[in-house]
Amino acid sequence: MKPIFVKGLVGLVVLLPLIGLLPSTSAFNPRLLDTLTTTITMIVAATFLNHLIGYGAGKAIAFKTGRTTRLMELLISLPLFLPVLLLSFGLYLTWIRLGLADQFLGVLLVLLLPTLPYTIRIYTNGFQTLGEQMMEQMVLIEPNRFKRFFFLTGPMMRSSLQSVTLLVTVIALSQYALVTLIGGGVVRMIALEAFPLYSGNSLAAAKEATLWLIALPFLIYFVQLILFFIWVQLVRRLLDGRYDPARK
Amino acid sequence: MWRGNAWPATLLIAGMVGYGLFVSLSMTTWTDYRQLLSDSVFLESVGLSLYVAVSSTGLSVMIGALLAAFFAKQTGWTAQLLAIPLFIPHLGAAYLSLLYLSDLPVIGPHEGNHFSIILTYLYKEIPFVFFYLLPVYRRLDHRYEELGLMLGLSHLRRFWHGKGVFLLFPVLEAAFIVFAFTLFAYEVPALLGVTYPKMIGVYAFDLYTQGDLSSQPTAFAISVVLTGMLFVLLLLFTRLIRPLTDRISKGRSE
Repeated sequence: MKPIFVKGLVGLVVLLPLIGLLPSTSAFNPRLLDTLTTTITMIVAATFLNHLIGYGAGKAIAFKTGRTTRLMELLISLPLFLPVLLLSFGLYLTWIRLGLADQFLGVLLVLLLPTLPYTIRIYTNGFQTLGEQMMEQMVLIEPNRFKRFFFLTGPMMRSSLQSVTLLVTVIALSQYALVTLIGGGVVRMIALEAFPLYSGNSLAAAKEATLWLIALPFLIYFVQLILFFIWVQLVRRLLDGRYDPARK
Repeated sequence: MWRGNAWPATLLIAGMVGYGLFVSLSMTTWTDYRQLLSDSVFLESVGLSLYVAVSSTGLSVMIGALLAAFFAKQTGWTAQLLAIPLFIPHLGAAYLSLLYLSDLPVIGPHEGNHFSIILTYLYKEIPFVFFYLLPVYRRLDHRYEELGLMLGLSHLRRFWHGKGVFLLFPVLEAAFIVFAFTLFAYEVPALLGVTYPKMIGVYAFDLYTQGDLSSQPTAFAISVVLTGMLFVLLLLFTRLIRPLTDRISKGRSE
């Protein structure tokens, strides 16, 4: 097969289904606004926790050797291979006892279960690509870990950081069963609005909810791109010798 | 300590997984398991889930691997188009299925053959497999295959020694992730599946949430049985495949 044919076919198959999503009305359902606030707060919190916990874990798995690390790697990837939804049946009872059921925090913790293994996998790959020697260099250049992250590791790990945010957003958005179970219908995320609409009659309402469902990952990704742009500009400016007081 | 620390993540994940399993175990008795294994509704939904999971995993890994092999040699931005389905949550993909396939006869939603579920998974999982395998294909060293050509190996053996040994583990890993996901997912089969038999994720979830309290032990028993089975499968996978690939990559296979 000719390359152009394969490329065209891939493009068609991927893009054609999206045509039906073009919005026909500009009406805004006020019910969704409340849900959107919870959803965005939840996604931001889940993303932040994922970065915080996953960064160190991915680095450890990439750079440490030995039996303990291999065992930890296996334990961390368990939720990828086991039924998270079925395990959350048991967790729900515990959450009730701990007072976490039907709470924002309880849902946030459970959402870490399907997202964190992916995060750590992406970070492990990122650090392995970066290489141990490069890491050693960076440690020698900048001993302060926060400064090192801001000036060196962060910008260099840019693509990993971006993929983590994207994956966490997409996975967290489509969890209907998990959020319904643990959140008890009190923690309302966008999936809880969209899901019942699909089996209902109102196609317009279903379409609107789906639009948000699909637009949010793109929006968040876009915001992240801007933040990264500012970050890199800032690093360039700060590292530029012209602003270095020591030179004067 | 610039080498990072995996303890918080390990404790969090292992704690939640282990404790969830422990609670499920403590809520069930032997009779629940005996009842479950003779329950024809449960066995039927396991069979259905296996059918959907195996066919969508097989197809998406095959097509994803072929695309990765193709695009590893190409330059340009077309490969980036495949990232678009990664931006779409599974719920959104299920909606697309409802939107387009509803009026079609054989592949429409709520059909006994579950083609619509498989198609939805293909739309989501082929890109996943593709981006999982693309770096692996890009890292392949073509000189191995040239060496095989020089040594006069057959086509099949040349492929195995040049590419197969490096691809085996990543391909199986991607397949395992897709398989475990499609086997237990709730959202897509709940929207596109039929009312009987339900797929196992839907069956267990409905049993737990909609049934009365007396059916909860059954849901817990399903959780324990399936988690245990997948855990055994995972152990076999890591115990058998990992040493094999290690041995091959160190050149001690023959």
